[in-house]
Amino acid sequence: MLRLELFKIFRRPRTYISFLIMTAVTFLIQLAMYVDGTSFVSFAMAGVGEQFDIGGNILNGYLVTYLVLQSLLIHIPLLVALVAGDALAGEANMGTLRLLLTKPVSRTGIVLVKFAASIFYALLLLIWLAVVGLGLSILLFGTGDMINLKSDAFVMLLEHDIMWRYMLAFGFAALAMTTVAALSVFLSVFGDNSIGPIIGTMGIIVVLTIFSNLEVPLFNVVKPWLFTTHMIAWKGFFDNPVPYDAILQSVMVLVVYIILFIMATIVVFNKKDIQS
Amino acid sequence: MEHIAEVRGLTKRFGSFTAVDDLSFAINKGEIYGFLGPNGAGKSTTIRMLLGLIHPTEGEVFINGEPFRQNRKRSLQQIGAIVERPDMYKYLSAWNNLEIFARLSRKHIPTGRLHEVIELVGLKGREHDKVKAYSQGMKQRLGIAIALVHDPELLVLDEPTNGLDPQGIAEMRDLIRTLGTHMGKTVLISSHLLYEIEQVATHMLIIHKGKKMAEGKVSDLLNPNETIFEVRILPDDSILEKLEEKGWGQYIAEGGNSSALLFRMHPRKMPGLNKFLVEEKVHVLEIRSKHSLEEYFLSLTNEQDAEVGTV
Repeated sequence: MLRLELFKIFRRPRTYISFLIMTAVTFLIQLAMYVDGTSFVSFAMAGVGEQFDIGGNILNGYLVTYLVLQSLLIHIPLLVALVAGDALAGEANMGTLRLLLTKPVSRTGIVLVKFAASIFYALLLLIWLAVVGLGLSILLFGTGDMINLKSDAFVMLLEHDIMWRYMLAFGFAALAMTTVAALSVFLSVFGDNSIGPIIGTMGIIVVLTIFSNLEVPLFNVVKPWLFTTHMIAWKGFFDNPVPYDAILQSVMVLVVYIILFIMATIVVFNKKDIQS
Repeated sequence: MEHIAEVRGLTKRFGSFTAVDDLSFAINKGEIYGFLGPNGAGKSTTIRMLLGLIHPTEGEVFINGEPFRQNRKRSLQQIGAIVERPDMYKYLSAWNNLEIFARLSRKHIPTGRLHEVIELVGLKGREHDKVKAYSQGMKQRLGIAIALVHDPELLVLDEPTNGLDPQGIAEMRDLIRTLGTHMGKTVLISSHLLYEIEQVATHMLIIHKGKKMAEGKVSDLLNPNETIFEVRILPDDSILEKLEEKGWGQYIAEGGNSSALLFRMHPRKMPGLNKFLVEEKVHVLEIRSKHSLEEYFLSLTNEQDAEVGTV
């Protein structure tokens, strides 16, 4: 069943739009850095350069990849939602859901397969991002020590101490995108076309991200419970030392959200009257 | 005779609206069972409940004697269906669509079987075209191929001639006859057109506003020597049982509301029935004769159209 689902996803031209968009954004950032990266780095390092003497290849593939990841923070969930939000609602919209459900397959099975296919797609997107983002950036800009600029500090990471951080960050991103996929599949169960679930997913992520980022006491109470607060924990891998406890906590929160979304989808879908 | 599908007391309410109201019927093996009713009568809702797409508010569906709810997968393995429009994955070829749904049927289906059904429905040579290039008639035939591919005992075809041109309708009719007569399939076919059902079905059920109006062999129901009588009475809970007991076998079913009864009988028998009702202290408000089931069905359809017109 999963193979059939992947076959359906990857035979649709719109599936590849996400890969194209991601390639284009990555390429644009790389191009901008290639053409005018030196002035960007000197501008960013203006304050730091006065107090520290920094040498070597600062504008390297690792830094560019970090910039790419920062820029794609809001885009990748949208790209995941494009496919995951379509999971059940798209079938309802095409009218194939009723045909699918007259076959001897369980509704729970359908939800799990749709979810698994969405994860597979999200993973492929991330692998593609690793190839064009990290791979191509290293090819274009080479490697070097990485400076991670934060609002109140900067972290200097040595060249040989970076690759494993990227591997773990991509692994964490996979979990974060699985959460987005689970939310999208959940919203997809209510829709009779995929627009609602896609916009719904993005709306929820945008609103909750604002909650997660605003320094307002009222929001501070709910912040630790929002999945958006934890989705950006991949940045922790570029700290020194890596805050493993906080990251592990984020992993646990995201896993709980994924389980809740999937269970809710299964319950709602099993009770649903198919009228599309 | 063994029932391949049986529906007992099926009711579906959407909020305060009752789409299907205490409906019971049974389909025997080998029948081409016509399911007739004006638009909005509850046919699609009933078919969806029969297939498990919609959960009944009350009542139960049995497939080969087993309750559907507890044996959903096994029941569905024995059914092939088209519900309303035959929608498929338009960006895939007919062959890909057929392959996908064949695999989902959980039976081992050799490639030869796929060729066989493609040929049967007359799509040979066009099977590798994308479905988006298909006409409505071709989609309908592909829908039947998908419904047939796992060799089910029961085919459920919901308004299969909808949207087809006259030639398409004739071809579909031939195909349904072939499935029933030559291939021994049991077919449940729904329509809002009496002549459609009349031409292919061996048995039929008429529903109106979610209730059963008439059921039986097509040849009996459309017998020109018999007349349909609609008897309107003040609501009486016990009268249905008494009618059954006293052998008023011509009694067909209760009407659109609980105070209307339908009888199919020779006009000479009517006074006897009237006498019986009076003796049973049933308040008879009106007895109306409709010359044939066709006329009766037409009056239902007109009534429905008038209601739609006033909305």
